[in-house]
Amino acid sequence: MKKTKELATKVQKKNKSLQNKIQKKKGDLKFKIGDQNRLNIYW
Amino acid sequence: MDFVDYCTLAYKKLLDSDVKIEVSDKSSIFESFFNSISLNLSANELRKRYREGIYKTIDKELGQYKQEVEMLRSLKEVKFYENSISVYSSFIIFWILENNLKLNKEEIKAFTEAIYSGTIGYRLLDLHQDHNLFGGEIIILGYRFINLYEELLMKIFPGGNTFKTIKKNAAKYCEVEYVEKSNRWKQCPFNWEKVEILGNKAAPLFTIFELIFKRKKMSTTQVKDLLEAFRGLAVCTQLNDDLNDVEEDLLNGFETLIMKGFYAKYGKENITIETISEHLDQETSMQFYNTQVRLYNNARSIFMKYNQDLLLLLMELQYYQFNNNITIE
Repeated sequence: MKKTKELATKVQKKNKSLQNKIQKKKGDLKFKIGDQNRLNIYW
Repeated sequence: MDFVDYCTLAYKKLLDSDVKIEVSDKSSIFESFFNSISLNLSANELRKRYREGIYKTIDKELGQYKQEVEMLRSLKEVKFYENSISVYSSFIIFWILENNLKLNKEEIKAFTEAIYSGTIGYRLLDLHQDHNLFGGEIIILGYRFINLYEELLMKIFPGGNTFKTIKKNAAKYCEVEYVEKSNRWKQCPFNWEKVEILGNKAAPLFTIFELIFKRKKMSTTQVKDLLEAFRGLAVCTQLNDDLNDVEEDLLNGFETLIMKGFYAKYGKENITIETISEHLDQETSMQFYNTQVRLYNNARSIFMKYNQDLLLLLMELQYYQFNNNITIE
């Protein structure tokens, strides 16, 4: 398998597993607000 | 070794290394990913080489504004973008190499300069409006950078279609920014049903991708589909960015989608973490979350359909970072 495909598949599996866990949990979704707890979304 | 050579070496190393995928609080997932390609490579070194190259271009093209540009580059609002551009430019170079695109080293170098000029140019327009840091002169400088971005792209991809692409995406950017800027201190003009329009804030970046996709001789449908996937990812970045900057945006007069209705409910004088947290109810939180899940999954399907492994990898990394930021209480 091509290396980039292999890596993409590896992260995709992690995502699917995390998504499953999130979907199964019951409760309120929370997002941290404010400079002290910035979502780390950048490059 | 200059920036392009450094990226070329990183791509070669990537193909025979066991890269770790880790989420860290201190750096972005893309930076962590780059750092884990090889012990001999680092995102900091990448940035250093990027800056050296960019300084030369600025000296050549905007030499008379050297002092002003240096001052701007020292600001956190600009520096932050400069740091990000080096990392995302490296991934664009990876794509060019992976797809054996017919661009020589000088053209790739000019391409990274175009990405820099476009990103900084459009950022300067925003800085004037959103941060009240400067007077109108910064807009003039922003236009000069944008002009340089367009000029460089026209040189690398000569022909009438390049200008058509630039024009089309500039119009998309204008459409969304005009609506946003004309609604300052008013209710957010956007809605969740047509959230895709927010992705057009990144439209100048779509030009970058559209041009390399066309150089690769992809079909019109494929280019259209891939750009739609990118637009979705741009929406996700925008929504997360809005959440990060929620207080600052409200203080600057911009009610973003996650805060729609805030001014009507709390007024302009009660912008605090408490009122913001109260306004971000479960319904909005779910819309924020479900919208991103839908857009990430759509981008995934498109990249898989066209065997775009590198783009799929970047999308999965961004999605992984998002998933790691979710908490349920």
